[in-house]
Amino acid sequence: MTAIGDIPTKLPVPRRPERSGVVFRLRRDRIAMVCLFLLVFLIVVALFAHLIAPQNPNAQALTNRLEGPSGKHWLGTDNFGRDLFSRMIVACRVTLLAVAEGLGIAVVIGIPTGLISGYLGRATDAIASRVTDGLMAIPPLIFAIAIIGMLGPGLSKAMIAVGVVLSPRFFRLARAASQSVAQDPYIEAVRADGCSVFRVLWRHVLPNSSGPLLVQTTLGIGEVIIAEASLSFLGLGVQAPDASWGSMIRDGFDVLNESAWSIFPPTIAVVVTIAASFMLGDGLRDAIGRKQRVRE
Amino acid sequence: MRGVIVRRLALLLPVLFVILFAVFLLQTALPGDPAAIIAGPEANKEIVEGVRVSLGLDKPIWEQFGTFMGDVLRGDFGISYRSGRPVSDMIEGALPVTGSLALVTSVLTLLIGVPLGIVAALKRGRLADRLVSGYSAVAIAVPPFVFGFVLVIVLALNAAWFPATGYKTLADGPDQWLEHLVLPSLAFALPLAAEIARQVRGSFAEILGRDFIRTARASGLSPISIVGKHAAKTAAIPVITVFGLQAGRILGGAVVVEQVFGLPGLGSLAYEAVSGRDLPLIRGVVIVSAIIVIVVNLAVDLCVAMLNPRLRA
Amino acid sequence: MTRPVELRHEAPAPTPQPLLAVEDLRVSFGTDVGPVTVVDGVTFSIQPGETLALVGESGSGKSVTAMAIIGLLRHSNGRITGGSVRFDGRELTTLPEKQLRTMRGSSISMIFQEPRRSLDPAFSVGSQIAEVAARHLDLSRRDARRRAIEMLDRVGIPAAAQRFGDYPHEFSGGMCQRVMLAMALVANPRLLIADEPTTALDVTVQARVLRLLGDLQQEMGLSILLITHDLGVVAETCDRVAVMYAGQIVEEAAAETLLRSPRHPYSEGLLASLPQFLDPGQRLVAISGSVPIPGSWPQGCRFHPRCDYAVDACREAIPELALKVDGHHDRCFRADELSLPGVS
Repeated sequence: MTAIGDIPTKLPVPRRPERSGVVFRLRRDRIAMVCLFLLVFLIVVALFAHLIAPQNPNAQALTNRLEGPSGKHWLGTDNFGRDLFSRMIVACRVTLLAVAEGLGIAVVIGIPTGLISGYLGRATDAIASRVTDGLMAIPPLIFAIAIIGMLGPGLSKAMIAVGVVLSPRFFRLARAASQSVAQDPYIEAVRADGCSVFRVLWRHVLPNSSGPLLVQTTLGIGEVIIAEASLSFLGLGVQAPDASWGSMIRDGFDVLNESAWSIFPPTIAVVVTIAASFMLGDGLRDAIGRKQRVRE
Repeated sequence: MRGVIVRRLALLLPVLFVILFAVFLLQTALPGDPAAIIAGPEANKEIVEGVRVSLGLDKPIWEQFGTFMGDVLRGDFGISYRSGRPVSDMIEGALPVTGSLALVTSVLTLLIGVPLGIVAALKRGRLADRLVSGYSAVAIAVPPFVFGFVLVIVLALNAAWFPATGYKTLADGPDQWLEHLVLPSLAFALPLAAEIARQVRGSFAEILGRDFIRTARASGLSPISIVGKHAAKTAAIPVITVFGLQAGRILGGAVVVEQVFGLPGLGSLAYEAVSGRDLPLIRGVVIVSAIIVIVVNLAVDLCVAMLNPRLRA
Repeated sequence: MTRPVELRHEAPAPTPQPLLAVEDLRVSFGTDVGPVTVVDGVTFSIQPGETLALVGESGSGKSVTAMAIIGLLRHSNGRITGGSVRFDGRELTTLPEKQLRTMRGSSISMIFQEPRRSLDPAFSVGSQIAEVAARHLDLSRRDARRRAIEMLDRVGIPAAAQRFGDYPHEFSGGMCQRVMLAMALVANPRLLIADEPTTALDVTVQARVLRLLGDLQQEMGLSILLITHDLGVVAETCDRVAVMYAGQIVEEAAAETLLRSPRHPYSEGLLASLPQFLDPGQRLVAISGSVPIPGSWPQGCRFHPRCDYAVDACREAIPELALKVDGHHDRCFRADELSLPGVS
């Protein structure tokens, strides 16, 4: 008998048979499910933003500046008298589109290079890893604004910058997955069969790492939003008259001494969305992690 | 021990090279002609050519890179396009500000995060633990500048406990210096402390379940010794690693926080540089930031090696 | 409350008081489905200078019993729900933690199964021993260090003074166990609980560590509670043996007696499965079935589903642990009729 540290707090008592499976485990995690629904809800809002928004988000009415919530303007108005509620909805679309762009670029740059680097190993891998280490040493936001400094301001360019800055993380993940599988005799057999490198990577290596990649992508949603918010706050992201939640925070900040209200809706939206993405990512990580342990 | 240092430094060189190269490449991505930008819209072709030659921009790329590397290693980052001052001077002026911010932030992060994490680990599953976990989950999701202006609203505008903006050097008196730094540092420290608390809680909780802690308990050692001496030494490693990783984020986030609070540090310089398409300044800031991050990581590695006797061999 | 009267000299000579007296100890763990009893009325005692082996397979509850004695259950889900543990006359189950902490290491010590994992990797072995010495013996740093080196030497670590500053990862498993012994014995405890001290070690090393235990016991007048699943270890080293099954003691006797003529079928089964006691060519016999998990113990005698000699009566009631033959307790209805083979 091993000592007490090994005694499980749950003694094995016969239970109802449990379906294993990531989805099932995730569904039991109530917090993660709430976050998932929230994100899905936001995506739906973003998709139909222009249909849902009751008023023109860009319609200025300088006589009605900085009003609080009212029957006419559910969330009040901003510095130029524009309806905050409509602006929030349209900004949701802009923000989520930005997230898609940023994440998309990170994934497109990071994953293929990581897979190939991990698979090929040796010199290629050594160089690629040093490069990634170097890029990761540059503080992310500074790196992003340096790139923007080259490309010029604008949301798409900013998201390119963010994507580039985030890509090393995906590179490392894909590389790790690829490395762990590259030595697998199964892979050698498949290659001997004439399977091309890309097919091997795409069909055999990638699915193995889909779990951690999914987790990193979900967490990445939050991180891109933080980046976009920071950049737009600095005026380097979204440009007027377009609005993202980040630029709306900036607008609210600029008029803080006049009114403290208009900064809150976008701030709360940003914080809630980021928190949702982090908690969902954590939940996913737990659900996937346990599955792997069970397999062992 | 010395072997560790030497090996780490050796690994650093290629990384440094990569950074320098990447930064140098930034110039080639720049749309437009730097010589033309400097010379100004009024200049004619000859003047632009003159500027180009004087800046060495007519030489082949490899030569330019070589000169660039040589300059950087000597600490010469060139002259800022906009202000005309040597970039290294500007950076030198900004470093103490960002340095102070980073210092106070780090102290606050540890002061808040470590005790919270330990309490959560000791009272696992109970209310204290849930509160800390809840705080962590939310605080991590809030960008520092959001904390920043919340603090400004609450503590500076409404209650005037702290000044909202501006920076005072140590020379103006330590109390003034601290006063101006409290809000921005707190804005940073709150999310970072949440991360540290999480890491501390996880490490301690896991370590307190290990066999050697059981031995310590069976030997009748006091809880303070068990938690504060034995568990702490082993738990410190991942915590310090996370703390080191945060260094990069402090530098990055400094850009925004310094804007919010009007601090003339590296972050503000970076912002200025980008707004003005000031290439030498951008390069200087990026390189210096990267070097700081690398140095911090090296320090972290050394601490870890000191704490973990197995790595010292 | 009247003061005790000086009548002692009129009372009959008292039986020697055991150093450790465990009586009807019950321990249960909290689980998802409610509390589950893991130790169910364990009774035994250890005299000063005596070695008692507590033998049983995984899941019998022997380690939990040990942790309950030394009061370390508080860091787990387990609680003592009944019975008493008296050490030198003092009741431990109701003692406040602070006093228990003083006793641990100085009166009762414990060593564990995986010696390499049981030492703090971040501190030198010498400093760990010295810390225990300083804590219990109130020594200065220099004296504690000197005492630690003495102990290291006593447990057979060569070049003790030089190895004081070495780290656990620089020692082999057997050496680590010696270090643990040094740590456990540096403050001169009267009882040492050894939970499977040799299970994780190579066979040759096992023998040496057990011999060391024996030597130290003689030198220091130590009592030892040796927990093991291996009856083979018991023969050389122990005075008495208590066999544990499914939370209960099923047989207790002098070591030689139990080995030669066991009275409980489970003990017989354990003996039959020992390779070292078989003649060449004889087959190893394993006990059929497996140990029942706490919470799903069978009705009646807990061993009856696996017992070759079970009858109807065995299914209906749990036999009491009774003293049938001189110094020999057993928990079997049929013990008197059966004549079970042992080993020589």
